[in-house]
Amino acid sequence: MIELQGVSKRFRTADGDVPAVSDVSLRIRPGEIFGIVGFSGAGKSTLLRMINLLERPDAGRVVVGGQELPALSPARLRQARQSIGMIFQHFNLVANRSVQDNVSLALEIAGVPKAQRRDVVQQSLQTVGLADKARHYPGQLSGGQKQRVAIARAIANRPKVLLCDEPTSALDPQTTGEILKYLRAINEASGVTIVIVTHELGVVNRLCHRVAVMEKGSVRDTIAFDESPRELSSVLGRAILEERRRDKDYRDVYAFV
Amino acid sequence: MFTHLSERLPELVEALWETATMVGIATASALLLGLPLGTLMYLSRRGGLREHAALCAAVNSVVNLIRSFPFLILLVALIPVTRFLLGTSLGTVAASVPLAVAAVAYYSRLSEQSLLEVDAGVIEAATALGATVREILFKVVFVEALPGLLLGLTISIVSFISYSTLAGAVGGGGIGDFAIRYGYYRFETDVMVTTMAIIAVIVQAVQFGGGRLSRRFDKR
Repeated sequence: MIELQGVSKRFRTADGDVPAVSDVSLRIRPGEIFGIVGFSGAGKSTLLRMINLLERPDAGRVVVGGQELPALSPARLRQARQSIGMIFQHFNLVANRSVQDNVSLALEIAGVPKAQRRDVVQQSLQTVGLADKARHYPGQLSGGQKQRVAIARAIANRPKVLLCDEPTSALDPQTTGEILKYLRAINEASGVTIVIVTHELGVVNRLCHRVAVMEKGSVRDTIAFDESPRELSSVLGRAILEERRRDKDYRDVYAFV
Repeated sequence: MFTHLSERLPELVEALWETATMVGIATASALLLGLPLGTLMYLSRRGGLREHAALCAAVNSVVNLIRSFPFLILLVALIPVTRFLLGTSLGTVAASVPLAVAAVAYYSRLSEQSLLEVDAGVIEAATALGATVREILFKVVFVEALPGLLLGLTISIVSFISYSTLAGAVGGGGIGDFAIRYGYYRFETDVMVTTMAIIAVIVQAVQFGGGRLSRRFDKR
């Protein structure tokens, strides 16, 4: 579904060029929930943003759904983006548009006729359990509800890929669990490929099928949770497996009670 | 006490009408030309949605140039332009020409400022949805900036009222000219006080109305 090949990106700053992502190659399968973890500044958000070309790589190939994005004309790129949904840490909703108009925005941009928009908006909001808030404004909602509106907006065009940039980092643990539940349900119901960037190991453990650990702009480890663990080179990778073991022990103990 | 006022009433009404004409022309110019110009500066600036260094520099320097002259100077300096456009430099409409020029420059800056306050994250979200620059502008940026644009327009209109009083200097008439001629030159204090009170009420009303309108569109 998504193929990154030798992707690199440098940022120009006052102190000269800083490498954000260096020569990363990844292959993400259709229907998979793929995590990207790392400490701050590891380049994980930059990597994610290169999948829909919000950041243009300096080198390397970005192929999504068989299309090589950097080679597309601006018009074709905009079209390709309509099948790549994205949600953000700070939700990024249009404050002066109502909940339904925020979801409708995705459809307006995709050129969906007005007559059809109503139903799709309603369906999308139902998927995230917010049909009753359609006429509210984002300012009247809690953080978790705002993120759910953002999810409804991101899935309105039935994308093949959903990119999630730290979607739970501004939320409390309980709300985080709720958002993860919706993301998993959407993945299972529609088969959308999800790529999620996070620094929360719990999120990775509860949601992802596979995860890439990034350090200083490179992917250090890739862990597939359904395979037997291999030797890992990153501290974070080992911490993920450790936490997973503890989580499992915990669940096993409680299964007996 | 109000000995002169009753005599001057018809002229006062006419002066108010002249002021309304001048401020109306200035406000329309601000919206029709100032807002597009402000949008152009917003789009073309470095890191903007349609970066264009040369255009950005050109528009900015013209706007800065106009804004650097005190209005009275601009009023006099633009007399030849007004004469070229209208065939005369006298009268209310003629005085509206320099006022409109100042209004366009003034509101372009204020509107640029309001547009710049729109959260970059929301624009990014629209970009990720595959929006064109036009769609980003009309479906997101203007929607988010509307309360700020209205407040900016309110500030502008109050300034235009103030500027318009100077227009009497080039034969534009209006309430400022009226207050100077009767209230000041003829020592008709009641006329002066009444005129000031009227201007104060108008400014209060504009500010109040603009503030309410802005809040109505502000859902943050």
